[in-house]
Amino acid sequence: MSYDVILDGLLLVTLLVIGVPVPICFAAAALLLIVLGEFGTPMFLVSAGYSKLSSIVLLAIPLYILAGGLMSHGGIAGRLVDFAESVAGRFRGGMGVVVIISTAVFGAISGMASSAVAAIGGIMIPRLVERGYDRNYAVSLVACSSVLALLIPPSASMIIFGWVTNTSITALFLAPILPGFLLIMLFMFWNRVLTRNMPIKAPEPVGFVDAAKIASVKAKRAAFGLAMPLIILGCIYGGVTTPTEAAAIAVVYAIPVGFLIYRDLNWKSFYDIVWKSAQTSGVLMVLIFFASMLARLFTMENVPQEMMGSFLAVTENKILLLLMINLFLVVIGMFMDDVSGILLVSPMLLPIMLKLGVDPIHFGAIVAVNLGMGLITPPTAPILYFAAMVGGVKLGGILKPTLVFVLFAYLPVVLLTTFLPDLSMALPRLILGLE
Amino acid sequence: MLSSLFKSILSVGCALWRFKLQLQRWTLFVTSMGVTLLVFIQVIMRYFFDVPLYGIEEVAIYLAVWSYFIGAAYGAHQKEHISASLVDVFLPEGLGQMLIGMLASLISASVSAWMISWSWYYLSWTFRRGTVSVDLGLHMGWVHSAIFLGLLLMTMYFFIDFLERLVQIFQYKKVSSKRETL
Repeated sequence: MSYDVILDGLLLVTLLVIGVPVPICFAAAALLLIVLGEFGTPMFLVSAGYSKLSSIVLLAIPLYILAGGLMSHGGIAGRLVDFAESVAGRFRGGMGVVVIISTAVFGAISGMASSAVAAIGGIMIPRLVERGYDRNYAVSLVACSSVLALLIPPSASMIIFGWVTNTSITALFLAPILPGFLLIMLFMFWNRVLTRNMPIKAPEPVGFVDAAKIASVKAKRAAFGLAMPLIILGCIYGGVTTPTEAAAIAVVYAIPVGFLIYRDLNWKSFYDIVWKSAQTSGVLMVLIFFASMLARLFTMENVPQEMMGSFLAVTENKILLLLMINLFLVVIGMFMDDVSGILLVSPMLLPIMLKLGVDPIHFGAIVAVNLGMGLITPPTAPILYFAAMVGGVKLGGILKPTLVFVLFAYLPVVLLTTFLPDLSMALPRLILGLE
Repeated sequence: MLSSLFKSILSVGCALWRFKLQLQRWTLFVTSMGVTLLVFIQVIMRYFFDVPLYGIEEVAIYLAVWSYFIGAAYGAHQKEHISASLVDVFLPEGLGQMLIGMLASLISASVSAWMISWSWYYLSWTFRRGTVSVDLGLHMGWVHSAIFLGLLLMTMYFFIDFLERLVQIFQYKKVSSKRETL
């Protein structure tokens, strides 16, 4: 690898560590390569960034963010929690299960782990504490479950991965679903184990018929929110629309639901949600703009090929290489958010994965679970910090249960996703008929 | 006399500042709703009437590009850009953290300012060549100016953030030296 690229990597890491915004870190790294290299005018870079950005595929991201913003405003989080509580809350440790299910479903609607923490955490942490759960444990559970938003479709991370690696987004939406479900199961198991010594108060006993009636009422109240991911997925997998068009349908669906059915929206809140969602999208898109510029320079400097050479120089054993790549992805996930991580490493690692015979769709699932785990793994762990803030606890207190979830739920899923391709390839093969 | 003139200039400046922010929010609202409606109309036309509208996706993308860059600039104003700082983890709260924060915002403003020059070259090149869009023949200067304007606003917000941090450091030093004298 050339000294210019090594120096560039060091600059990128230094700027990230001192807190320079990630898009500016990418821009600075591109700037340094232009100054040091012999690329002539930088105009081709702006053109590369613009041509990548002006893509109809990427248009899905702002539309999903807007649909999620409209649906998750107001009472949908409360309705989801009420419904999940009516089903699972009656059992011992059931409130923990409510958190896991609610954050997974809310993540699917809003598409963002942080909004799942804010919305579900805000409601559930006080309720869990009231029922006798340890506050630190409650915060940790909310943070760890919220990362399921990356795995349950429609996921912005998978759209970006598909766009970067030129892989079918329809297939990528399906790939992390089974690893996501496995994770849900493991979370439920560890929730049962970790809460067994907590002084949890049992809820008032209710007969089966009454419980079913309550659940049906709560389900009706939450139905319009629950229907949104189904409409999106139905449109895409029914072959009716592209993911971008499905996202526009989701926005148009969310507007009358918010105004007329849930009545959570008024013109002022609608206006605020729309411009705030556009701001969130803008922040992501400018990150993609500068990352595309840097990626073009890295390609011109043969960085992906040299990266592959470096990995293969260590070992040619497929299992060891996959373990190294997993470790590399987790470390990237620990220091970066999922979008930046995908933009930076996917184009570099894809040639290695293809050489190892890993399908790009399978690789997408590997990236999603690894970067998801990184979001809750210290030292940076942005979701963990945010959850600690929402729950009003210190980070040190939530580390112990978080480590249990990371080591005994996330890690096994990461390894299974990596070494058992069928786990991520089964649904794309079954639904899309892929080879 | 001078102080009242200064006050009037300041109030006009503040009003213009608020108007600019309001305009940014309106741009975000209008472009977002425009993109949604255009893509939705295309779905209706394509699947219900089997008559796809020519060039509608091109307009949707151009509106989206405006939304992206104005949104990113507003994100800089709201300090909502994604960062992966480790400073808060390894340095205790105080002058050290403040100095590094100031350095980060100075770097952000400088790099962003450099990017303005790149986007300006790109925009002038578009005007010189008279580049037009493929489907509708729209002048691409209308689209590429969003990059220039977005980066210009972003640089301004990063620079203001730098000044704010600088002032905070001076105030912190003043307070510390007062405490020491007491």
